[in-house]
Amino acid sequence: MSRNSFAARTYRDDAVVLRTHKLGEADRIITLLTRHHGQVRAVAKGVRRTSSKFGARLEPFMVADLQLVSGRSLDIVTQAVSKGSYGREIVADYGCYTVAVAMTETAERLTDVDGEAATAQYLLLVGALAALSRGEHTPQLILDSYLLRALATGGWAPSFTDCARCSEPGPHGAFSAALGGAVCHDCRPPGSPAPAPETMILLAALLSGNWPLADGSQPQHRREAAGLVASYLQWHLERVVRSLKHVERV
Amino acid sequence: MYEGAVQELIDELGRLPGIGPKSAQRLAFHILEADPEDIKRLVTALVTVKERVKFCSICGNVSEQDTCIICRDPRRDPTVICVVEESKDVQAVERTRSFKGRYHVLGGAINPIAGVGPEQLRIRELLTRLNDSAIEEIIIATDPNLEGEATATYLARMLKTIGITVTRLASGLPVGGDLEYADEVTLGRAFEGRRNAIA
Repeated sequence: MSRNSFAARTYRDDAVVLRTHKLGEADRIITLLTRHHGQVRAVAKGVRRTSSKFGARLEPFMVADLQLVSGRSLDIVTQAVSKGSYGREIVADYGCYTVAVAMTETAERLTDVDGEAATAQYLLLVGALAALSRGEHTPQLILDSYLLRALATGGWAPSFTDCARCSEPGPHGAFSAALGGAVCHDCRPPGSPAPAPETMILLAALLSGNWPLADGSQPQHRREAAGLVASYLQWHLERVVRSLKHVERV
Repeated sequence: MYEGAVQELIDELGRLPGIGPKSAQRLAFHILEADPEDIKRLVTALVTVKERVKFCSICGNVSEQDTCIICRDPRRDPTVICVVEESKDVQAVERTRSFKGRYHVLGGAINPIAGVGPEQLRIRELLTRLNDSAIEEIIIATDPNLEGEATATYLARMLKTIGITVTRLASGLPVGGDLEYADEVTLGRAFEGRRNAIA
């Protein structure tokens, strides 16, 4: 069989839909985070027609088992079977929707075609979307926890106890996004913010998934933590996550 | 690369949505070979649409006057407003001939990744229109995709306290299709939106 034949170019993978763009009359370009093939951009033909057989399965936040055909610049989606439908529950709450969009945009920025590294990001995002759709925790806490863990998975794990620069055991009173989290008095760069101790405890809980502690946190510490997470994210991504400014914070 | 005017024309055509470099080249050579009178008509139509057409000051639909033909029509029901994303959605609803109310065009849907939030849409203008006590119902007819649903959720939340009936277009099975080919999301929506078959 020729390497360029249709069958040879066909592959199957689980994927979560990150975003969609309109293409031509009735098609869409779907940006996917797959379990084994990293980030994939594929054309879904005719999905904007009301008669489309898999249009609903290729909406953002949907998890699907897809069959794709490799193309020169874009792959083509040929079949889709739904594996997790989180969109409806998420979009029924506008605050949840803004959080989910910020998570998918971050996932898009953090991943590329490297399949091995993307598997952890895929599982993390699917878990976060599922938790969001079930309403298990405050959406904003899920977002901040997801952002910290996604950055840690991407190789930018912050430290909220030991000093991020000299590893001196904490707790420490200052935070530096550039140095990687909490910093001791000696390593603290001038102008570093000094968050409340409870905020640092909340950030550590969000990173480790200590939900009883995170759920019991106070609103002012959540707001402060959200600001630090956003600054940490933007420092390491080196670009603005546009949807973060639309997130509804309580 | 072609010389001067031809390349300029290809570049300009290539900036249009859905037109790639090959299509732009094909269109440019079609224009070169076409009858000059046909091209003059095309140029006149392009200039006229930019000079004459504006957006209705009431509903945001395209119009050649300050208000559009639907807002000017006294036979339209002033108690119902159908909220749509784009002007082309007005035409889609008009083709049904079953809606006799008026419209409000938002100018898009909420899409945070593209930088479109509620502030970028004509939601404030809609709330201003609702000061008119004649309005009894708002029909939200945004697209049945995620951005459209998010916009509908946001509007429903905004309008909840005003005391006006707010409805959303039904989602479900397309007429003429087979049930076995329906996807589970659409079929699930159809079950939720089922109605009493005994009149």
